[in-house]
Amino acid sequence: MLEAESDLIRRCARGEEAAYRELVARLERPLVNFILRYVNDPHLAEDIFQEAFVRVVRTLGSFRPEASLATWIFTIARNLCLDHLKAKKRHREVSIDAQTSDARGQVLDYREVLKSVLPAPEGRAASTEDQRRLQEAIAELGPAKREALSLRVFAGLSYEEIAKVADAPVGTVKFRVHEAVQELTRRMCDRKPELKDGTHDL
Amino acid sequence: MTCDEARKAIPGLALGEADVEVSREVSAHLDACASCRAEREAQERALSAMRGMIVETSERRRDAAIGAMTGARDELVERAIMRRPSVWPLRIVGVAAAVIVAVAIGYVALRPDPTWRVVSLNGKASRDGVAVGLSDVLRPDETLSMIEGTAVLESGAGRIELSRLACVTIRSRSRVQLMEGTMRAETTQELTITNRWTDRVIVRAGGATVASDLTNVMGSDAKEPQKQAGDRLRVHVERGQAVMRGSRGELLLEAGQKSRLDPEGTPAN
Repeated sequence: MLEAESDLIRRCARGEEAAYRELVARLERPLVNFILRYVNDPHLAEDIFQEAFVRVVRTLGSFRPEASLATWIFTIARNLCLDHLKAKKRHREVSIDAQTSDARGQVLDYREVLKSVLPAPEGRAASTEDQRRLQEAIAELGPAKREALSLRVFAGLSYEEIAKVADAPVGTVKFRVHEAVQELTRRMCDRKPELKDGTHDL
Repeated sequence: MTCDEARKAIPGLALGEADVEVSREVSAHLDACASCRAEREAQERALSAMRGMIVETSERRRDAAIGAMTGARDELVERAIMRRPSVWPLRIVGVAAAVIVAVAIGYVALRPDPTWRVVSLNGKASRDGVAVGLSDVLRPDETLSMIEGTAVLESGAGRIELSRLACVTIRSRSRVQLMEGTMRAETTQELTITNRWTDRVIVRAGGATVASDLTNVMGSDAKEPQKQAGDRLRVHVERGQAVMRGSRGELLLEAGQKSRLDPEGTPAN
């Protein structure tokens, strides 16, 4: 671990707000992008982002110096994402039966309401047609591929770091990323016929 | 390079991860293969679109995260304070210990002196075979035997005058055991005189003459004179009051009254 990194951890352990600020600034961009693409829910992503840093403060005592700070925090965030996705899945399973409409036939699930009335800034940013399709295609990827792709492309982690976060061999995570890129391209082509104009002439 | 090999290598190329050799081989294939070239272009467009989706940093997000972190830190500090053991039990234990020590010191410092001092000696007396002199001190469980003459002993509770041949064992400052003979006791408080048995005379704020009788008799073997108990205790109250207590009864005596305990321990005038 770098000296500057261990110093930052020490200062965080002492509860220095400036150290918190430095840590958040250092990891904000890759972390929020990973979480957002992994859970595909802007509100939930913001919640998990904050929760990850709260977990960092609570568990600083158990941090092993031999681990990378980024890897450790991404692992925390990944576990939180998995917990939320599992909880969301359970909720959805229950909601299929439990979901009801009011007298005017409106859906009462607050998440759906939030999504419909409050488009996230990220949603607005991804307003081009390609990005909209891509967003849908990413959401349809399997969890392992989506996780690997998010960590590689949206968070910019190395394959070695991804392997530690995902607790999988380097070769496996590399394969997942490549597969995800191919699958996404295929899905986008399926949705956009002009991308299919290449013909196999050899 | 075949198309299959090229297709496997294209993601690495699009991601910019392929090494120089692989890049060169794939590029050579792509120059000749429109389909693979289209695949590469499609993947590059997809990745470009992905990079365009990157969410930028936000001050609001950072502030929210830092606020959550400081909140978590404060919560940890609060919990640590809550977990800290209360000082009250320690204080209570400390005060209790101090009280016990003070009481112990006070008891040692202020406890009544249990000794008796020889204040007058007209004759000879001994303690465990050693002659006793004036001002000598007798401690609990020490026995004084008069050989001849009389002696007066004092404690904080009173004074006793031992007659010739009397024998007493000190028990405490207010209690002596009259083993044999006669003694006169005076007290402004209370003195207890016991005998060899459980009998006792309790003299209250007054004076009394007490005798523990052992009658000398000649046994069947004239060579071995033996002592045999007669009346177990006799008392003559001169001032104040006394209580004579035997194993078979108790009697309150006023000044001028006498009593004795018969061999069975019954008090009688």
